[in-house]
Amino acid sequence: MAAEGIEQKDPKIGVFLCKCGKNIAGSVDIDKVAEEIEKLPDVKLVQVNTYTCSDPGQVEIENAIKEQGIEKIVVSACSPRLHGPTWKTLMRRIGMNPELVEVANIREQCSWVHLHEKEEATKKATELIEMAVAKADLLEPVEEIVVPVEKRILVIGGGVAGIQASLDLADDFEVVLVEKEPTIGGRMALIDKTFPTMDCSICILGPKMADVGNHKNINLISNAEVTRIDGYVGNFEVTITKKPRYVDEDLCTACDECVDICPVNVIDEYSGNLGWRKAIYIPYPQAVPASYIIDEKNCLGLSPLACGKCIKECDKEAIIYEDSEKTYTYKVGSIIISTGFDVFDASKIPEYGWGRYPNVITTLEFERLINAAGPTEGDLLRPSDLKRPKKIAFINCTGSRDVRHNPYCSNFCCMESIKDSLLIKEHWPDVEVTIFYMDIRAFGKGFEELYTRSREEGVRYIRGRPAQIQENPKTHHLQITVEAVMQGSLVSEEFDLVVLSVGAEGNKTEIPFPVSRDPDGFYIEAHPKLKPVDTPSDGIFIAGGAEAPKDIRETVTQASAAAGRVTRLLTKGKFNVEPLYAFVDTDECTACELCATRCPYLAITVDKKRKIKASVNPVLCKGCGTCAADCPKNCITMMNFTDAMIFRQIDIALRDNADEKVLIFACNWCSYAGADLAGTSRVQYPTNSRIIRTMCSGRVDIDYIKRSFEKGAGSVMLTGCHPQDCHYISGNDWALKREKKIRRWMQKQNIEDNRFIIEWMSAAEGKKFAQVVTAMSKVARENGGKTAVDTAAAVA
Amino acid sequence: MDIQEIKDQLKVCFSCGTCSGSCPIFRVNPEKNPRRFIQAVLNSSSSDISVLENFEPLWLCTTCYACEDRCPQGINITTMLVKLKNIAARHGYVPESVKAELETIIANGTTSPPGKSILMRRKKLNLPDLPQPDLPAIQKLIHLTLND
Repeated sequence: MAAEGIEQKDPKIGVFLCKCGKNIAGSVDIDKVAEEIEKLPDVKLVQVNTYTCSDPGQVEIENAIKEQGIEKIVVSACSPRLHGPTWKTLMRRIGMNPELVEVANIREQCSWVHLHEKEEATKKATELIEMAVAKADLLEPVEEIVVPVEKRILVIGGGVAGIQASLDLADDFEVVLVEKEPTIGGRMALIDKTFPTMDCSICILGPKMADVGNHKNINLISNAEVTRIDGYVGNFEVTITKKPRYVDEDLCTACDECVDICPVNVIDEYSGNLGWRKAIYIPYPQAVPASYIIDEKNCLGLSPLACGKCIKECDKEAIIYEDSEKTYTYKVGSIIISTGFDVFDASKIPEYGWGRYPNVITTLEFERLINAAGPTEGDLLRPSDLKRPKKIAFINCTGSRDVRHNPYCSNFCCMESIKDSLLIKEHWPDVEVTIFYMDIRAFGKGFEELYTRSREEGVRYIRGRPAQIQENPKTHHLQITVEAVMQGSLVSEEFDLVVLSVGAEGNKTEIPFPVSRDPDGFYIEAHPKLKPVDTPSDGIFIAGGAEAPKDIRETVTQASAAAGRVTRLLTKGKFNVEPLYAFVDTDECTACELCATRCPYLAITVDKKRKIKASVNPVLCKGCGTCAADCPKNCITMMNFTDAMIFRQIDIALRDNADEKVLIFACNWCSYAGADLAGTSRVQYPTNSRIIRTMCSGRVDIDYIKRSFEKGAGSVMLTGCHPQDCHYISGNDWALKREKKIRRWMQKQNIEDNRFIIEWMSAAEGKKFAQVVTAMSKVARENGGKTAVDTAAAVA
Repeated sequence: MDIQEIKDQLKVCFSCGTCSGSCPIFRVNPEKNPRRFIQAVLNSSSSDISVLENFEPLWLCTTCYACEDRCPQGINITTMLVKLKNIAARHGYVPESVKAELETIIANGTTSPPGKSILMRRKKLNLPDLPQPDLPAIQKLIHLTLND
């Protein structure tokens, strides 16, 4: 429509001024605003409503569009963050393109923050609407992109999270479940009992594992890793590489003949390194797939003719020495990351001696030790002499709540120690158990009761973090030195066995796709409260220990939630991509690859060597606009936030009394929302402020700052989310990197350094927003007239 | 560094007792408990340094750094204890034993001058003569430090 451009003189814009009862009309003279706006050449119609968002208000817009030939609308009302979607829905409903709406925020960012300055607030509102009209004039209809969604899911990781998610999904969709280990089951399969109900872990997990193995819709690929992920939501192409197992999973009946004959003994990682297995083995009897595997590092027979005993023994001819790596590719619509967590390496705390002292073990090793399928068949014996320990100590928070290792609380370890203490007391009531703790965190359903029971059973709780463990080299007993902080006295006591309650760490397995993780290695949720199983990448979800340390119940809850989110996506069969993306004017592009370095979503394809010019995949693009801001040729256009639009906004904002104004660039998610909060909290700040919204601070081109000062701005603020909080992962980092260049330019132009500021503020920091604006508007007013002349000279 | 700045460093202490458990002096002298000392400083009212007055055991710290090395909250405990001793000294809260030791150094340039038997033995083993402390320099140094 706008592209026709022949009848540019013919106004097409309708402006709808909302009074919002007295919320706006109380401090802005709407009739006066209407008078001014009617004079604008691009405006065909101005209409005042008491409540534009109400049904009658919406009908009036509808009628105006249908009857008066309005093609684009400007709604002057509350924040676009509040009712922006309402106007888009309205446009869609009446058959208009939803992108032809612009909102002037004259409530949160004008009437509510200037309650007692009606004249100035009215002036400001008029300017804000003019800015919106100028932008609306350049808006163009954008076709919504709808992508099909493949009805197949990839689940990465077959622990309890992956098992739960796969089973939830498999009745309706095809699931590809990839497991790195030879069996699914994860850590839960290795635990003896679960808290707080003391259920046998493998007894409740085993049947689920078998269900996965037998389900016709689950394609289980074990001993394999995902080596490549391409594409986007609904249309991922994934490549899975399966390591050779050397045993045919379908033929093997797990008869044990091969194990009996195998001459190689290897330390068994599935018994917590406390027992032995053969070079051909099955991790544990309940393993799925229920098939043996040859450990290629230790098997003698894989080198030709060296051994070959097992192959002769196998009646089923299931053993294949010439087995090789296989790759599979699938098209999937969605991905669930359920890769679990890693366990803290206790040898990093040398003063506890794990790895040097045989009788210092971790909780996970303890789980295997007292498990009926473990190395001692469930008998409690200590590693050094295979005798029953009489005094056992647990040390909580090993590696957790420790800035030298993992600063966070690892969630489940307190309860694990408590549960283990009860298991000991249940079977061997004479064994003395002491738990050293810093704080006991028993916050879940039934947890506190378990803690009480443990104390009632006579488990001794000593508050204090042990400083060191020393081994008596003759007896292998262990001396713990600790301050019992409740008494303030030193305890130095000997124990037969010490169990370190180790916490969880982020999984070190890399997923071959950019999904953001926190500094601890855990995957980041799209929103920590409201989107806890979504990742910032559409179509990719997280469940279980990959997201944060958590216990089984929480993991299962999250896995089912993730499965629910996937079902929602797959059932619909299509995905509407938000029509907010960048595109490249390839004529100008020199394939310099700079844009690709800015994009955290790998949405840009460009090749310097082969001179392939940049192009943006609109589905992967999230619309931050960082690439457009940094493109040296200015050949990337960010839809709805084009250079032309923003220049127009700057020009109008600074048309009158520029030298007294503070111009603020605010990102949609944090600082703009913070400004809105200042409004809803009625925090007052000076009226000489004008806000220009971009999706991300990364969109703010250096040229915008230059233009603002060239137009004589008193001061300029670049605001965005706090570091690490960027909605687009790294946009604010790139914005910050422009500061030096901006200040150098300012220096050359004799613009005082304090007239520009970069400030990070969250959506919760309305007060801070008002404070910073107040300070910067003072800077503007002080610099006032004098610098306007300087700048004008500099421009000339 | 004033006491408030030291408090800011100590704030994150969650009283786990790793420092005291690691302290070689606490093992023989239950009065010298670094954790309790940190808590006492934290709980004292702002800029009140009288808390340092009655803490003679603090001066027993050997600066072995075991506490600092092991603190799970990453507090520079040993460094902070040294700074607190400096503040205490500036306000005259120095135990008599420490003062006596200082006087010995002013007089001899060393805390324990080698005895005759040691010197004889060195001679027998053909070891070089012990270097003599530069007494005027040491005295000047102590004088300047105390005036600071």
